[in-house]
Amino acid sequence: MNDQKKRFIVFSIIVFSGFTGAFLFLKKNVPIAETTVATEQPQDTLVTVSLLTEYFDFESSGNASITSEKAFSGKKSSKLSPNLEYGFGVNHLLSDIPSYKNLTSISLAFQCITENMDTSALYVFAINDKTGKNIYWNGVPILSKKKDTWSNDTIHFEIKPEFLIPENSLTLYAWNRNKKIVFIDDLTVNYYGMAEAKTTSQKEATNTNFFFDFETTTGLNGIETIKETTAHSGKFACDLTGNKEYGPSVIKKIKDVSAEPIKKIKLSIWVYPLTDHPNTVITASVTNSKNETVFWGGKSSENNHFPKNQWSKINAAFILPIEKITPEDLLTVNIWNKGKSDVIVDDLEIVYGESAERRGAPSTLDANAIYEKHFITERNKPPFKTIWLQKQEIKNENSTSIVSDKKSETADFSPNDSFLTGNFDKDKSNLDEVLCIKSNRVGMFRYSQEKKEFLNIWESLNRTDSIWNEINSFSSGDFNNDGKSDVLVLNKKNQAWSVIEFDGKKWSVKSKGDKNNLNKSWVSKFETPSLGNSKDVFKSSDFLFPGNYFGERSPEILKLNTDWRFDLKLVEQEKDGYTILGNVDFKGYPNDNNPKYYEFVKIVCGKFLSSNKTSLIVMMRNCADNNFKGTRCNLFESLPELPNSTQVYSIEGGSTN
Amino acid sequence: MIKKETHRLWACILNRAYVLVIILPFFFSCNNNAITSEKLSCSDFSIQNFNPLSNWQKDSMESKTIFIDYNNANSGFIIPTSKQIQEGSFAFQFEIKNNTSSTQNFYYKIYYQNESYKFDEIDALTKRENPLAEENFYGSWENTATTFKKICVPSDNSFHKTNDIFRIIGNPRNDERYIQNGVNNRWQRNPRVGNYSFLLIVVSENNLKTIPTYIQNINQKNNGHFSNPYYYYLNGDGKLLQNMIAYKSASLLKVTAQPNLGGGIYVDDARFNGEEDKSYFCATCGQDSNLYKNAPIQQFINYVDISTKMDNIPVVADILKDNYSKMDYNWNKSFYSKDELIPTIIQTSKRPCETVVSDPKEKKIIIKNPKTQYGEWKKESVGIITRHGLTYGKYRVKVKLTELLNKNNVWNGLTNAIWLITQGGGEWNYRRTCNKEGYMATYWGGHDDKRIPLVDYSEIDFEILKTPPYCPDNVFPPVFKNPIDNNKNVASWNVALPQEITNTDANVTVACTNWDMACWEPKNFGIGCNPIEYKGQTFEAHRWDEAYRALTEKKEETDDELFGSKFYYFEIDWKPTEIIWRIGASPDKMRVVGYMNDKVTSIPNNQMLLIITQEYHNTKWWPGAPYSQDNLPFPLNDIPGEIYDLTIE
Repeated sequence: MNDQKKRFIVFSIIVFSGFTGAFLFLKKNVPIAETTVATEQPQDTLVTVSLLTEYFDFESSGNASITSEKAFSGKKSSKLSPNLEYGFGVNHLLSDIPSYKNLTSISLAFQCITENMDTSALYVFAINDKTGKNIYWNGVPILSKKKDTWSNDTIHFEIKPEFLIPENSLTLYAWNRNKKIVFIDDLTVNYYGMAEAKTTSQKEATNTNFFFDFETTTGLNGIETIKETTAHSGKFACDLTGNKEYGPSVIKKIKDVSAEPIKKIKLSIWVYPLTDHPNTVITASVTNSKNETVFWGGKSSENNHFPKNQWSKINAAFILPIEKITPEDLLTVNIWNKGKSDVIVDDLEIVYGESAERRGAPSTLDANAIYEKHFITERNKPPFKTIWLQKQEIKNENSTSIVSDKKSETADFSPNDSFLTGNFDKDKSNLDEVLCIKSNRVGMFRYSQEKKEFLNIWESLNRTDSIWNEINSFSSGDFNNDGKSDVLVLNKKNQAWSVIEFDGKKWSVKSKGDKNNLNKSWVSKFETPSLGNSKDVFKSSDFLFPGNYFGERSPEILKLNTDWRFDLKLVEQEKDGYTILGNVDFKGYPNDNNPKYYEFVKIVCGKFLSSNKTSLIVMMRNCADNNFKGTRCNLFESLPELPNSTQVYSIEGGSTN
Repeated sequence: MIKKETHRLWACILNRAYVLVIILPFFFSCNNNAITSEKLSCSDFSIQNFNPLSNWQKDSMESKTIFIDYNNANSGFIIPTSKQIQEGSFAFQFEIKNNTSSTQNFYYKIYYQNESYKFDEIDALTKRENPLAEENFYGSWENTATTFKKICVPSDNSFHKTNDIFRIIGNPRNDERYIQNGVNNRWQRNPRVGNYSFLLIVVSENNLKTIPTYIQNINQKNNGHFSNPYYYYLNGDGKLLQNMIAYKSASLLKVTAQPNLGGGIYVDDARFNGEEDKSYFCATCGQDSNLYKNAPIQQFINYVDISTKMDNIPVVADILKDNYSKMDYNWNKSFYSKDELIPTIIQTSKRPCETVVSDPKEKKIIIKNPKTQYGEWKKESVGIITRHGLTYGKYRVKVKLTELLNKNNVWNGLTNAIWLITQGGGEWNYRRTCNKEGYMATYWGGHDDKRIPLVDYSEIDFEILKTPPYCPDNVFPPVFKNPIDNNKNVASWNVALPQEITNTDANVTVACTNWDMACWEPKNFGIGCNPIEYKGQTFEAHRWDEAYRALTEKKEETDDELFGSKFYYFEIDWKPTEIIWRIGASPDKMRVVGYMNDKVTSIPNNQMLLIITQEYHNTKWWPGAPYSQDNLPFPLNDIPGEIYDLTIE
């Protein structure tokens, strides 16, 4: 069987077991493996933000209107008087305003005091073109709410897109047209514009970290100085001896390293001087399409102690003038042996830009409510409480095997495997068994309350003539209503089916049929949780794990989403819909091996440890596949700091914080 | 003969009496307290056996010690108090012999000066009076109008004993600067700690007339400045007087401040805007009159800068006990969305006495950053501050403040700080004039803050936290990789810290800072990293730019040593021309971790208070810090610190 076919069959098992399990959950509240529901994906939105804010308290302004007769704050204000027709003004080239292309309006907020509430004075907003010719003018009266008392006023001006030309200038000034007395203080000017508020659907951040150890020359220009020599790492380094002035360069288009404007570049290089007082400079520069240098920055070893015949590091960080840079511009990092002394350099590190902003829209939480301790949670809105899953000891030494005997291949649980859970073997413990279906074998395991570990109670090679082969899909449930879990085996091609039951030693067929007498409800598509707010709670890509996690009668739904992060939440079904009880996190794991940190995690739920409380078997592994997508891994890797493992967790006492 | 002489003397005293002067002719030649001292002579008289502290520690002649009495000291320290010496004053005595052939009136005056924290009276360059010596803490009798006191000494070729009293108090010059609304606020210029010398001046009637008024009366100024009497008599014009003896006692008095930390914590309404919840008040913490009068410490409430507003991760955890790892930190940094973050600012206690405790039995203070929970989400700074200001001193604290790093060397977000801050007050507490461009007007303002010649702001800090040194600047700033929030690739989000950080992973940085308000007057005022030598060690002092108000030196030390042991000592040695920061396991094993002098920074000369805090900082204040405050959890448990001793000497 080829790999593709195998994958298809395993996938079918997962999907089928998911659907069937969900069906059983809805019908009988029996645990299922996993399934998904459909909801709409969030979209990015445009929001209005202040592109620039200016504040003038007039305490140190040299404007002719400034007076110390009155002040709302400090000692000075701006005074309009019969002798002064024009008051304090603000003037800007459009291009001086960050993201001016998004500018939509300007707001002036200020304090004013006057002898008459109708001041007749105006605040004027004017736009001039690059020749100085006025192309737009608007004036709004300055109003004082109270006579002889400072009061606040706000004036708003809209800007039409056709005026958003970088060479245009805008002016804001007070016009005392009827020459009355008005004092103005504490002027705030906000330049508003539209900006994109990213939601969780934003694009994945790209790699902005680059490291060149000079063992290969990929990505480097001017590589003639790279040779086998004394090296900080490996064998190769950049040899700048014999009057050589320039080392290799890294040249990238801005757009190739970031979709966003790069505000900063961070660099480091190791330097090995062969003489005293080296002057080695690490540089960054930006050139535009006209080959003009719009930025140059360098950091030298000159003013620091760089001992001879010893590796020392230069770190540098440069702020780039984003207003002058376009995505097509070239950003060059270079090593410059300015002193032309003999020096070797190695291990160039470049970090373009700063850490990506967190995803999502800004928090709408009221900081004052938290500060004043009357914060009230909103249903299904973060932040959520944390519900802790405590690791349970199963004596497997945190290996990937569910049993202590690591020789059993079937017991080596992998996220690639398929699983069925149910009380297949009616014993006195009344615990669920877990059936692990691999491509070449299948085994069943049950927790021994006496031995405090899982035991293998049945195992079989999964030969092609077995029912456990990949032609079939499987689901668990009490299909014949005998109080014991069965497995429904369904031929994916012809819909022939059989219900099989475990008799303590082997699986035997209890009933069978073909597509004509297949109970459609057994394989009906899982119905999306239908209560009103389900779309607020569930996503199409969620995996759902119903169970009795607190050991109480009413079940909860554990939902896992790994689209972006390992996002595990516990949901409660109520009369009017679903309520997220909290984020679910893990406790008690060894070192810092929190299951949520692994690249590939599969959860199987069941009443494994107690007949009235649901536990989770968590398989956690890292994947060495180059383009791992999170559904199947061809090559697992066990990292020293994050070893692959299979563990069991359950909630203890419903602890939250 | 004796009887006749006695009669003449009494007549002299009664006729021209100056009270408090008692001449005991019975002991003219006696030496019954075994003082052995130099005899000094001029043509008209001789002086011997000057004992400036005859009623204090009589068995110890050369070196005497007194601890400042903090009881009822709100009006200023008095040395000694009546609790320490029944009379409430030091007694001094000397013996005088008239060398002339007739009975003479001689005149005497006692001066004292703090020798530990003074400017040399002689300017090293000009060899004339050091203008800064007027700042020295010197005094005489409290009533500065009492210039010299007269004694009438017979010509009998015998020594006659003179007894008198004095005490050391604040504002000994009765300087108008410290007098407001007619009240002499002596606490605004408290006596300094350290060693005091005593100078007895005896002068003939003729020579007295030539001593300037501003020397006789230390309240008076000469050309707008006080003139240091020690300089005048020992090095200046006074030295030339033929019949004047300046007798500087060999014995010194060491004044030490050691407030009783079990003596209670006072709560100042002003720090809480008068809206405090008083439910935690108790006998040793609160506002009752006993605490108001006697508690040496009060609860400190940090100034909350709006820049401390953060969007914090919604995690409540005990970083120190839960073994919070770098991987935990990295995951939380990458995998919380903005809408899950908690907008918060660093908080301070709203319930005084809840997080500070004075333990009278153990004579210690316990502070704690309180735990928090879901829905409350607070990072609350905690601290205490002394109530009595001092200028200069070697401040040594014995503390067990919280560990800052856990076993994984992840920082808990706290900064342990031991620092001096201006006592405020405005004009009376102004620093010395900055003669080059002036000081930045405020400590919080930006680069465009105006410059003014005088400010009252001063601050000298120990701040200990997880942040890298700025110097040498070839490895600053650290190059942190940008994480990518791809949960299918651990390496993309779990990025390693750069080598320059991990090399000293178990270390915290001891940042030693002097807030000189960017006064450019020091000869070697500089920006960037500049080395400064002290006793074979080189320290790198760093200032961001010419408008930056503080100069900082950083030294990395292991967190385990400073905060993992039972206690540790931290010392700020604030002198008129230098500041030395020391740390150590015991007072005799202190090592220097920071040094600055007046060539590189303006050393404050105003009155300051000591603060000890465990505070949360916005890490934007600390460029290069490997952990950002908003990405560190809220505290799940109380974070205690203990203060066992404060000694200022």
